[in-house]
Amino acid sequence: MNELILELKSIKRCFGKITALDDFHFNVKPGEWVSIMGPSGSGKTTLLNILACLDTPTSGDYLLDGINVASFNEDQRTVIRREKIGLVFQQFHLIPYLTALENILLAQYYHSVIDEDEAMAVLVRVGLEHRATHLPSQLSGGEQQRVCVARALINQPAIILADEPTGNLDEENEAIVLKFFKDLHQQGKTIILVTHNPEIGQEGDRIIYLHHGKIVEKVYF
Amino acid sequence: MFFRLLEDSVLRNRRRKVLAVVTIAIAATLMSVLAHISIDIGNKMAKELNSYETNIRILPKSEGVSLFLGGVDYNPLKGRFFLNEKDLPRIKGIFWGNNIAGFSPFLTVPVKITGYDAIPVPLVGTFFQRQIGDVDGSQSFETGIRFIKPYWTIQGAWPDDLQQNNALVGKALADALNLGVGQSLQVTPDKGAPVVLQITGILSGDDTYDHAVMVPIETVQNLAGLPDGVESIDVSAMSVPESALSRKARTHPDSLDVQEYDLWYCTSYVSSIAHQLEEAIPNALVKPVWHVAETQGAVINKIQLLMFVMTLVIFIAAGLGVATIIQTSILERSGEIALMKAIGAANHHVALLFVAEAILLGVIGGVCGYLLGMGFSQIIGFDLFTSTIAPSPIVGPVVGTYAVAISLTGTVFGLTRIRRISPTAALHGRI
Ligand SMILES: Nc1ncnc2c1ncn2[C@@H]1O[C@H](COP(=O)(O)OP(=O)(O)OP(=O)(O)O)[C@@H](O)[C@H]1O
Ligand SMILES: [Mg+2]
Repeated sequence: MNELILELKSIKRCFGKITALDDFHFNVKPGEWVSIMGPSGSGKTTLLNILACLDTPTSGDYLLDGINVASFNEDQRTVIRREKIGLVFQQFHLIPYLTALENILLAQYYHSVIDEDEAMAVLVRVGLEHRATHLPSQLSGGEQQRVCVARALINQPAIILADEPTGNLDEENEAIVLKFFKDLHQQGKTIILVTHNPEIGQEGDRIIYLHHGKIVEKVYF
Repeated sequence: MFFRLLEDSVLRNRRRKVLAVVTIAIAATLMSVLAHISIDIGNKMAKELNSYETNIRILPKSEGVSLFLGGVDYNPLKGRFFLNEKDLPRIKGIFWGNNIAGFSPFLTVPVKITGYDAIPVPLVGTFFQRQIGDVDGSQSFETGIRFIKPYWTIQGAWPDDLQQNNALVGKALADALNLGVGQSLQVTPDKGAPVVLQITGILSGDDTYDHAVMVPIETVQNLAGLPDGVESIDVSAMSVPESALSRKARTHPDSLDVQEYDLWYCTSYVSSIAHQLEEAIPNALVKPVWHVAETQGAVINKIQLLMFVMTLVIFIAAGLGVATIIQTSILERSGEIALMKAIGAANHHVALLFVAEAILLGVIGGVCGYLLGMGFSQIIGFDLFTSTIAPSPIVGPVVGTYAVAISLTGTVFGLTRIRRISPTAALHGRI
């Protein structure tokens, strides 16, 4: 029954007169890596916001792990997001006055209780144990993004949603971050990754192309 | 983690925090002043009003039925009993003599003013301001109506007690007869020769004497042929508020046991002072003037109501101030709040941060306000009552609670904004 981890059924998301997503159907199996591509303004971030339970669709159903969350209120969405979803942003978005370690602890604090050893272990995984006490402003872009990935992983979510995670990185850091996503994919995490870079797109199991809020092309590898 | 966030939250944007603390502190200061004074005012006001108002009246013993109408005593003076002016020094000789702020004797005859023969006018003889020796003549004491009616306003000058023709005319009478300072006035008693008086001043501020002419007591004594005659004495005494014991003494004087009697006698209750005056002055009937005490109660109630209203108004004003400050600060941090929500913060997580901060700011503001308020109350207390105001232990917690309540109320109104911040901003990079 739970063959699909994510299932969007004729989702529509309007902002006033703008229809950012239009009659959108989209299914993801557990452990799949789906790349989302498309021109600017095609609705990629809007889609991710709905998948992340940050936003609610104007109409349509969204089954997350078999639960219809389309009609959830803000608090219910917060709870389910904490449990199931890790977010990686293009602009990293770390809290500027908290250290690398504290930024990770914060996600843990909102989720349950803080455990410094566990948080340190994730930092080790992204190779930043020596920068634990540094503030985001003291880290390079690549390092900040690795902290962001570590933060997304701390509560062991089944799904990682990333919006152009390498968009602001040089090639070297892009490779490092991409390596994490490959590892996570290998460990069976479900990954949905928005990108403008076709090479990164091809790392997924498939790519869907968006245009004006609709899927215009699907490529399977 | 929470305290780590709080620490940063508090230290950030210090200017706005200071503003919030100052807002709360101002409110707390006012509250602290009001509370200090309000609590202190009962005793202080009683004292103050007692020393203003005559609160004991001494009458001759048989003066049971007197016919006072509009300040005019229509009883003929003949055949009545009088107090003796020579007994006046005994008033200061009682156990609580030092609590006697002042006294003044009275003797009144109805007179007719030449030119306005229709209406009799009371000619009131009294002491304005004069030295009186005490019983054994070793010490002198200055007294007179000036000391028991400090709220009187005189246009012109007070009469000189040594000038028997000096007169003070009530404002209403002066207006009715078009009399002014410096003019003279001829008055005639029922039986006797007319006397010419010189108006030195016009009196306002006391309804009782609004239609009267006041002169040194000797003038009336001569007109009435009653040397040393006094028909009443008003005494102003400093007394402590009534207690169960003093009420018992008043209603059932015989029911007091020896200890209770001693305690009552040695406490400056109006009733014990009155009792001692009765003992000291021959043929005297001493009556505490209770309605003065009741007036004091009513005044105090009104002042306390006023203070309550002010407290409420300040609360609302300061609460609105804090709400605005908090809203601005939430607005400014909306990016950060959106991110917190995106990574799993519920509204209550964010709200708690602001609430904790509000409590902290409230406590700081409250402590500052309490201390400032204590300082100001001392100044005000000194100004109004020429005495310090005792710091009351209850005021601290009251002001503290008040300050935190302002801060919390303000914050709670500001908090509605948190709900409106959408976490979608995080992914869009709009933070
Ligand atoms: N909060 C909003 N209010 C109004 N319009 C919005 C809002 N969010 C998105 N849109 C509109 O929805 C459409 C899709 O936006 P979206 O951010 O999903 O595009 P995108 O594919 O992520 O673009 P980019 O590649 O530039 O990030 C755009 O036309 C955008 O202007
Ligand atoms: Mg986008």
